[in-house]
Amino acid sequence: MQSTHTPMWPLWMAATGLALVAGLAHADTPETDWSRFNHQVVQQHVLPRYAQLDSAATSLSSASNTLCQAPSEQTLQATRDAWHDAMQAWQGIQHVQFGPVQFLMRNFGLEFWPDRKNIGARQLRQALASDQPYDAEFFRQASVSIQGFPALERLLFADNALEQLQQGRSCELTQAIAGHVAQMSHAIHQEWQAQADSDFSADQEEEWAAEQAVDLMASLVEPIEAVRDSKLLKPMGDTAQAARPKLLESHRSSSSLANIRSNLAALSELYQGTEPSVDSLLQQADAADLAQAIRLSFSQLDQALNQIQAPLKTALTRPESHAQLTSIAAQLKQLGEQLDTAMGALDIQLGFNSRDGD
Amino acid sequence: METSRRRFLGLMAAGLMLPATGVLAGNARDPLLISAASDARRHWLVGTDTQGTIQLRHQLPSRAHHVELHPHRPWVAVAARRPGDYIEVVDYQSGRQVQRILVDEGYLFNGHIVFSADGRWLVSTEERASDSAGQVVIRDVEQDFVIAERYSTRGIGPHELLLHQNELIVANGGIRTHERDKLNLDSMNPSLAYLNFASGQLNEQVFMPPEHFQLSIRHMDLNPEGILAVAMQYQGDPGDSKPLVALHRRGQPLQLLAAPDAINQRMKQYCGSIRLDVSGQIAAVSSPRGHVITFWNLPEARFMTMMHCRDGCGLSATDQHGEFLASSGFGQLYRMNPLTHLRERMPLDGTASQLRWDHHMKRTSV
Repeated sequence: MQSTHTPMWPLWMAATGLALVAGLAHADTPETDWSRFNHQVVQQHVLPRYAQLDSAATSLSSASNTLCQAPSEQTLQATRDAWHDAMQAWQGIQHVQFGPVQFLMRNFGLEFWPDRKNIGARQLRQALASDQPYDAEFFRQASVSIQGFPALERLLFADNALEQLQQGRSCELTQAIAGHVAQMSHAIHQEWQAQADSDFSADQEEEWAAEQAVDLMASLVEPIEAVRDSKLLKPMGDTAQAARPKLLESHRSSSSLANIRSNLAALSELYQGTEPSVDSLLQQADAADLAQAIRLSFSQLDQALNQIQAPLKTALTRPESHAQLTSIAAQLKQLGEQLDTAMGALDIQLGFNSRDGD
Repeated sequence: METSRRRFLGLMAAGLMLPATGVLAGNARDPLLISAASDARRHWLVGTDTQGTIQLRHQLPSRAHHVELHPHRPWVAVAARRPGDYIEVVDYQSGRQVQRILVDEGYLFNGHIVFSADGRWLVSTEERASDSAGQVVIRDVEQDFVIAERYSTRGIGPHELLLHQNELIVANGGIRTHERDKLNLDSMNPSLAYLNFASGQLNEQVFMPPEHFQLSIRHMDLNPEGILAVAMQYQGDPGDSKPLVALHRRGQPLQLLAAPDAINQRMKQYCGSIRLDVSGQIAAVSSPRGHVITFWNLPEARFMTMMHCRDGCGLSATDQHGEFLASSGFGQLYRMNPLTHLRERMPLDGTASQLRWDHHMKRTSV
């Protein structure tokens, strides 16, 4: 008897164990602690990234001051490098589209893009031709198209930038815009710090926390489509021959690809880089397979983007790399769909009226 | 209908459509915010006071759209979302159902209604089920809401309507639908129709210019100087950046307004509701797909600013200059003022904040 029972015993144990675990998981799946999630994401992801933008923008401002005091190839290069750093810092937090960045249209001020009607060029010419001081009042009135990174890019990355910056009011305007970017970045960072403790404390009221989580989740899900549509598909056109490189973001400084990589690195961090993370919440919600698939999508996208020979404005126009980019766009679409499914698993609804049509 | 129709025409001829001051006068109450709302399974007409406490909760047969207040009785009428089959009239003080009006065979409610200023008539936009031909339908409030008159909106797929003195303004969206499928996106012809309320005669009709024929005119509000502010929804190429707001003065062409390009794109080609502030000089326009509310200066015909509002759609003016309340599909209410950059969340009790507040909202006056 003993010998016939023995082989069955571990199987029976395993089966009962599984049933028990499944039952427990079902009955006791803890309500997601959004309050803790929000708090951690703000502390570990949002605040450090705004701090990075704040400090990089301050460096850009002082580099442009040095440039204008002593214009040279070296000081121009140092300012271009500082612009790159600050722009990448912005690309790394651009996905957060709520909170202080919305106030006074700072998000558009920092980067008015896409600029389909080329408003930036016209506004920049007008500003350079005017004799108005480039002070706070100027920026209160000025078009958002000349308040931030794209206008600085036009000024700093023109072929004959060094020559131009020594003519008329170009350098003065460059300094003023860089100062304005630094001031906006600093204000956003400061206001986030001030509200992080009250709005994103670790023990928020449950419903309030669930709503705040929607904003954070939207910051993860919604940019995927924007990156795909505006930053890739639109400039790509249907074929390499039909590509329109001038529709790329930051094509003057050849940082279009770096921008996309910064965006995805930031989204990947928001997905899996905090503790707890969206990834760990999904696993906790019995969606470990989905969580793993999303992690895989992020890493495959990173590898695929790594294989693109920069600059993107050239890659668009070559059939072979155009095909690679088409496949990247498809991977982005898939990632977007996976994240949509993930929102369902976490009981996060990103829209009601927004999915209506009346 | 003949007796009711004669009564309607007789009263119209006698000019008996004066605003009445009624039972609510001198009855100081907290204003209520009233809207259709849904939870996971059911649909409601809800009203909360300004403290966020639910004072009215009335179950509806299906999802609803617009709510309208009777001018002197404590009644709110709510219209089913298109293609709709009911209008429910509810006493918002007692919570009692006053009447459930069912749509006539062969017609569909399109989600919008108004009361005449004297409270005698309930007016709805409807469409013929077979071809979406627009109808204005006038029901007699005093006679159990029997249909008194019915005439053409001079367009198809009518949506919001306004009644100003003896003139009815109808937004003919221009979209022919079956269920909620759109059948004629390549041949739309949206228009605003100004109709004589009594006779249904056309006083003026202004069409969307041909280059913008896919801009469906759906919602609007009228200011005291006669400027009609209009919010549109674009049915064309998702890559286009079309103006989504328009102003209209009688006798003039439509004046199309676009927000700065980046903001215009944020609006996602879609406006859900438009309301004017108490002064009638500032319009708030909700774009729930883009999660933004934009503000517009009417006399200067210009964009003012935008504010973030996740899934925000329902709008209502308060008695403060420039101030609006906005409701969202996430059970939130916000107080916003573009003049002071105010944007604050209002308190709502647990039940109210678990509801998805639907497209339109009304605030009862005190």
